[in-house]
Amino acid sequence: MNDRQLGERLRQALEAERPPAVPAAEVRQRAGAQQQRRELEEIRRHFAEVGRRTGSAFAPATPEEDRWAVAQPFTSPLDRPRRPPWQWAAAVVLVFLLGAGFGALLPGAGPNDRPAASAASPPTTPAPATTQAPQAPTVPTVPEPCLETARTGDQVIALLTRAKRNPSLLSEALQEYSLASQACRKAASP
Amino acid sequence: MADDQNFDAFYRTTMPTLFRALLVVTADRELATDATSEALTRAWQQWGTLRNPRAWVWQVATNYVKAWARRIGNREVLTDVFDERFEVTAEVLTTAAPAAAEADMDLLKALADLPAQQRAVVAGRYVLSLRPREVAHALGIDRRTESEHHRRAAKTLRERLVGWEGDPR
Repeated sequence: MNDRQLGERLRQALEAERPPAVPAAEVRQRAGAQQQRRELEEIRRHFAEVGRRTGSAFAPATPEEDRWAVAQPFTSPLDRPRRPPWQWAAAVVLVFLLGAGFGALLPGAGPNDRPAASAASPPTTPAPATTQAPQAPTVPTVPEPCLETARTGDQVIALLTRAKRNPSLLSEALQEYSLASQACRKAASP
Repeated sequence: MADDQNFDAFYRTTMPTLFRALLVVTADRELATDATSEALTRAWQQWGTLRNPRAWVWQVATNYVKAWARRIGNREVLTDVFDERFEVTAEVLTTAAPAAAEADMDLLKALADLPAQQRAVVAGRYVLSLRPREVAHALGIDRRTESEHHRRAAKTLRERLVGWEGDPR
C-alpha cells in the first residue's frame, strides 16, 4: 500500500463523518461580532492605559475603585485613601481629654472648689433681715471663649460621628477647637 | 460581495475536511467543532490577506487545540502536551468517529496506535492535502521532523493494515 492509496483510504473512511451543520453566513456573522468585541476591548484597554498614565478621572474604574464607589457613593475625592481607624480613635480620645481638661479648669465646676470656697470664707453671722435686701439666685456665668470651645467641641464630635467624613472640615474644626480651648483657659484663669 | 462568495466556496470545501482532520488528531468531536469554528471565523476576519487559507486555518486550528490542551494539562511544553493529551485508544477514536469506524474499523484502530503528532501529520497531508512544508509550518516543527513523523506513521499504518487484512479472522 503506497502513500496515495493510504491517503485515499483515509479520506474515504472519513467521508462518512458528518461535519457540524454551520452555514458560512453564520460564521461571517460571528466573526463580525467577535471583531466588534475585540475592538471595544481594545478601546477600553487603551483608555485604561491612558488613565493609568495620566491619572485622569475619566479613566474606567478599576474593580477596587468600583467597590469603593459602591460603599461610598457621594464621598469627596479628598477622602481617598481612607484614614486608618486608629487615627479616628486617637482624635476622639484627644477631644475627650481636651474636654476633660477644659472642664477641670472651669471655675466652680471642680468637686473641690465648693468646700475650698466655704473654708476660705470666714464664718459670718447673718445680717439682720431688715438691712439685707433679698438676693436673686446667682447664675454661674461662663466666659464666652468657653462657650465657643463647647460649640466647636460639639462640631468636632458631629464631624467625627457622621457617616460621611470630611477631613478638611474636621481639621478646621479641630483647629478652631484648639484655639477656643486656649482662649477659654485664659479667660477662666484668675 | 466577491469576498463573501470566495469565502463561502472556501468554507464549503474546507470546513468538512478541517473538521475530519481535527477529529483524527483530537478524537473529540466537541473540540474539533470548536477548533474548526474558531479557525474559520478568524479566516473570515483576515480574508483577503491570507496567501494560503487552507494551510492557515489548519495552523490556527492546531494552535487552538494545543492551547486547549495546555490549559487542561497546565503544561508548558507544547509538543509533549500535544502527544500526552491526545494519546488515544481505538475505543476513544471509534467512539468519536463512529461513521468512519463503521466504514473502516481497521484504519481507525491503526490510527489510534499513532502518537498525536504523527496523526496530525497524517491528517494534514492526507485529509487536508497539504504539502509537507505547510504541515511542518502549521505544527511548528521543522521539515525533517515532519518527514520523520510521516515516515513512521505510514510504516505503522501499513504494517497494521496489511497485518489485519492478512488475518484470517
